[in-house]
Amino acid sequence: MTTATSVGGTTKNIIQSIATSGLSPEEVLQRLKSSGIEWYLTEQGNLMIKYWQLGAEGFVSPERVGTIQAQETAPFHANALEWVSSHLDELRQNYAGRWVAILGNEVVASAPTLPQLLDNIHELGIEHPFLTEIPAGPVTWMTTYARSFV
Amino acid sequence: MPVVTVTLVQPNGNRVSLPLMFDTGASVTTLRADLYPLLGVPSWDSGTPLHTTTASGVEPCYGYRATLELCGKSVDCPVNLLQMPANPLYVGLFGRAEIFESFGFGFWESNRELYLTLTP
Repeated sequence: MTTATSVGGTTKNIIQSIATSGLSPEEVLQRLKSSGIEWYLTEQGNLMIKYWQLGAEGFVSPERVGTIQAQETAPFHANALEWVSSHLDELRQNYAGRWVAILGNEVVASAPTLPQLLDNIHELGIEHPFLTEIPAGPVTWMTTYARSFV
Repeated sequence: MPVVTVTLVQPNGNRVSLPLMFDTGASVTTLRADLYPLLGVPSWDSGTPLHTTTASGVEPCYGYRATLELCGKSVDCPVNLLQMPANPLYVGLFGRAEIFESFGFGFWESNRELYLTLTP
């Protein structure tokens, strides 16, 4: 197993000591988890880790935080959702009544039904797309409160 | 709008990202009925019959289990299928059962942000 080379400080020491400890992958992952280090295994078997490092304490006043955050690009996992939200008019013009697969802020496949879209995704070799349906009719909002059937 | 992007792991191992509304009032994660192909089942009503209380009254739904991933954590949890109206910004409700305990959540109304911790 190789480790990232640009990890700094305490996190670097923890990961290096775990990686060279001779533990099984499962034990290493458990050690990382117990050390508070967030990890993710890619489908290729690569170990990804995420950590935060304090850059500057009291960098801005709390009152300015909301304004600055609102100007920032959304995190990776939120990008597709943000993109759909900001391109709804365009999507409704081009894909009304269709299911769409989105990757890298573009529609990479569409179909009138979800099973057809899944077939298209498989044929195109698309991995981990963001899926949603662009309704032809008016959009409805609802929430639900589930309970078991008695 | 508190919508989170959740990864659903299909029975064949393929992953898809789905926008789900974060709904603390939903006891179980609930997906639109027409998402049944993602669960590898033949129809939306082939699971365990259940009832769900919605804004428009009590509705039938069907229970399954699925693997969901959020922020690197993978949880096998109950998932209900329910006839729901189409909305491009969410295809279901992210509910509590067997998945909320893996996280801690907070909502900051002033910034309209959902905060999440992996070590509740």
